[in-house]
Amino acid sequence: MTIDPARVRTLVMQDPRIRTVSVDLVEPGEETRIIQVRDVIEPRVKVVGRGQAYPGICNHPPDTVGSGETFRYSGFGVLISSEALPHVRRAVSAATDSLIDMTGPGAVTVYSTLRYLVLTIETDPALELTEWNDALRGAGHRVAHDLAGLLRDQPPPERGRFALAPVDTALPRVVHVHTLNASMVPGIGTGIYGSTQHALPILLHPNEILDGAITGDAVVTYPGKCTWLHVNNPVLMSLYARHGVDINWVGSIISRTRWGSLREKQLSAYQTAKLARMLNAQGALITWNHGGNDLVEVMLTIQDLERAGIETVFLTIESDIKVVRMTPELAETGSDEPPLLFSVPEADAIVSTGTLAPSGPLPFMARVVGGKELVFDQERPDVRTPASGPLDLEAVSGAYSPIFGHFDNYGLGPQSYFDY
Amino acid sequence: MQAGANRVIQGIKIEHVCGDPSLSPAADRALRRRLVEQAFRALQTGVTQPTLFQAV
Repeated sequence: MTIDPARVRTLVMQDPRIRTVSVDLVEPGEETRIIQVRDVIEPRVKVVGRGQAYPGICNHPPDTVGSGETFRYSGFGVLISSEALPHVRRAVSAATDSLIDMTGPGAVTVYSTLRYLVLTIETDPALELTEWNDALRGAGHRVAHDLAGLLRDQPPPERGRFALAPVDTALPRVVHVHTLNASMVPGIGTGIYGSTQHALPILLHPNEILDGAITGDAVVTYPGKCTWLHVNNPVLMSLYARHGVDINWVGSIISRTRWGSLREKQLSAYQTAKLARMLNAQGALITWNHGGNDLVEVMLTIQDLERAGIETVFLTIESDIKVVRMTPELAETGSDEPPLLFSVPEADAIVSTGTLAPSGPLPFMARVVGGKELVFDQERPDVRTPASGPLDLEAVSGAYSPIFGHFDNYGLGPQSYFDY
Repeated sequence: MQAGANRVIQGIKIEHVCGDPSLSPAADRALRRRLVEQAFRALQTGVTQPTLFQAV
């Protein structure tokens, strides 16, 4: 594929809220560090069937997706880079600076293995938070949509068929309980058909997720919120591979997490378990995409499912998220933090995706894309570190690792149990 | 309670544990006072294990 940077720039600059954009290509294995990552979008296009990929956001129609035919680019993403505006940093402390090293000890996430078209964007500095988010996302999706459109007349080298066809009724009925963070700041965060607010659980067909019904935002970049990740969730592929073989997959229940009060957390958990019961589920695979207080309702959900007689398995990161460097001693003994912030006795089957951290300081990188400096302490945005490094994350990092995607909620990272 | 505290008073919300900014200042103050009074009652209650005292 050959990319015309002028065509890409024209698409981005259609939005008067954007001041400048530069366009870069980055390949895995290069000595390149991408910084100020806000989101990664895999270009997908519906060639047959209702609706548009990534429905409900960026003025895309909210028509239900998931049927027909969708074409996609594999292993490639449109990456939006833009430094958080000062008032955005103050309004959303989780809008931190992040980086992706395409080689070396910092290349510990799946994001180091993708090829990118990077859009480094400068917006009008006075944009209010939701406008800033919309401008950045809109630009990324315009470019992704344009690139995806090029696929329409191409024969795909590979095809996959994804359907929840009726199967042998003797197979155990398994529901995927996909708990997704909802932002405590209105108008941003993970969206379902663009709906970001806290709401009671709903049922999605996995094909809706494959067609981009769940999207991230351009604001909070740690935890598992990247748009690319939702359509490439390995849990969906694994469940599809087993549907009709040894399980009967009945669908994905999406419940929102990070409710403020215990009563609201309980309500969400109880309604999620009730939906699973109405689907006659016998087993449930629970996943989540955040960390912290969200775990409370996830655990309450597991508890209520188990009490309803539904066997659960929980796929999770461990809570030692402040580990920014993995040493052999740490791998032997573990960190001081408990592996999970909160648990219930009924959560007796848990699969850990561990902690992704580099084994050494991040080296000097000759090429930095997306900006020039990084702020490691959100409370002190005046303290800026040159992004080319070298970067000793233990010395400079505030509370959390700046490595984009280090919360490996679905186990896509290349570090194995033996590394951990 | 998992952290081992014996007496725990249930707060309002994670973002505002000890009060409620959506109430008028007078109602908020009254709520905060009720929480403190609940805490005093909890201190005077014998417990044998970590115990949650509901908000009032």
